[in-house]
Amino acid sequence: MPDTPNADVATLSYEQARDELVAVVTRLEQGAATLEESLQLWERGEALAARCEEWLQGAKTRLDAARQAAVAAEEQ
Amino acid sequence: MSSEAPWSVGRLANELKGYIDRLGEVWLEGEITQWNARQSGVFAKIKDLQQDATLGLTVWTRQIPDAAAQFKSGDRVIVRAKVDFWANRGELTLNAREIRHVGLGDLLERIERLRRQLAAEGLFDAERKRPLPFLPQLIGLVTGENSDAEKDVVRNARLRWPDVRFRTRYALVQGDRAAAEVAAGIRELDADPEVDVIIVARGGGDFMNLLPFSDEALLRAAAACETPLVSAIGHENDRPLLDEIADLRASTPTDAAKRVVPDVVEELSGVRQARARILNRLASFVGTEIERISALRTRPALAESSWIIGSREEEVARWADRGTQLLERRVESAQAAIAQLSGQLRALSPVRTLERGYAIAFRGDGSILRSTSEVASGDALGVMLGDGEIAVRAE
Repeated sequence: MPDTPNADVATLSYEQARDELVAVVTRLEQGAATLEESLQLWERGEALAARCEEWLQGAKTRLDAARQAAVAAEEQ
Repeated sequence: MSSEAPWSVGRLANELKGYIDRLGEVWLEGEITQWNARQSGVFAKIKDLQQDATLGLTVWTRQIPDAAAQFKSGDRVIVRAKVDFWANRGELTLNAREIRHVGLGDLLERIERLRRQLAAEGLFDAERKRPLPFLPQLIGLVTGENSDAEKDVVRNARLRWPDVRFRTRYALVQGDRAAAEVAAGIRELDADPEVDVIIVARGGGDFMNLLPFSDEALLRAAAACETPLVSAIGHENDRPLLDEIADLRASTPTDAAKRVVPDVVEELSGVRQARARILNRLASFVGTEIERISALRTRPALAESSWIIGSREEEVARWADRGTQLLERRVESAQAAIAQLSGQLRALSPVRTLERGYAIAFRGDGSILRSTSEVASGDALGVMLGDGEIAVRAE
């Protein structure tokens, strides 16, 4: 196992990351996993959630910028 | 005849007259360009429909009494006439014997024939229609000088898009030269690379007024035009064939302006609305997703990792507790068993009996005496009492 097992998360699209996050949470809630697996799942869930938030924050920033540009264009 | 023996003027005149007289009566078609009514008759000019050729025409009242009121300048007529050469003035005139309008039915039939022919050539096909530019850079306009049509097109276009530009070629839009002038205007504007749409505009008119716009030469010029062409001929019943050839048919000059030039306010508001809708749509999408992720985030399974350890710690503690309890119970039950046994033991003990004054006699080897016969005189015996033993000898 590589040092950073969740490095691939950075390459996922928003939808991929979100869908996998849902799956991870579901598995954690079912509670069938071993301790070791649970910890790994939790770490992956954290990484996935962070990835999703990063995507959304970026989207929001771009949206706000577009809005301001639109408002500026209107005012001209 | 030669320079030595020239003809007299009279002889030439007579020769001409003789020649012309031999023509007899002729049938002619042309357009009346001058119509001066006098008491004795009408002195008119009749012009060829295509080429530049005009002849004088005299209509004597005694020959055709009501001609003066029936015809006017601009009418297209068919004339049966005798050609007269007046030797005294050297003039040639047509002496009308019969004159009539070119029948409306004839004209309609001719236009209909032309319509069928052009349709068969595919000049009306929908595939030939070029789309108009969305926003024309320079509109070519062919119309009558100072006409209402021109004003209508320009005013309505500017209302919709104040920066719209025109390049106008004036042409006669009525009479025998109209078709050729309009065709020339179209060709000139088509050759101008800046012009990206051409409007041919003329205000309303009756069937006869609009004939030039069904002229074959004009229609062929319009068909050859590479630039999108809009026909804007106000008409009543029969629309001119130019409408069929044009890439877009507008009902009036005003309509042409509206269809060629987009409404700037409307377009801007359309763009604004589209932009707002895109932004709202995206914002709501991002908002929904943000809520979704934060809901996942706050689910206990993900919110804190301690439950992973915590639940297992609890489990371990629970099992440890249970072990301890089991062990304690085992010890307790063992203690109870021991207490019971020691009670039973005490109940079975002979000490109490001895304390009441009984004694047990036994031999030196410890065997208990139960009968006198077991003892002989002089035997050493032991006697156990409640609080100890004493040694005795039998007698």
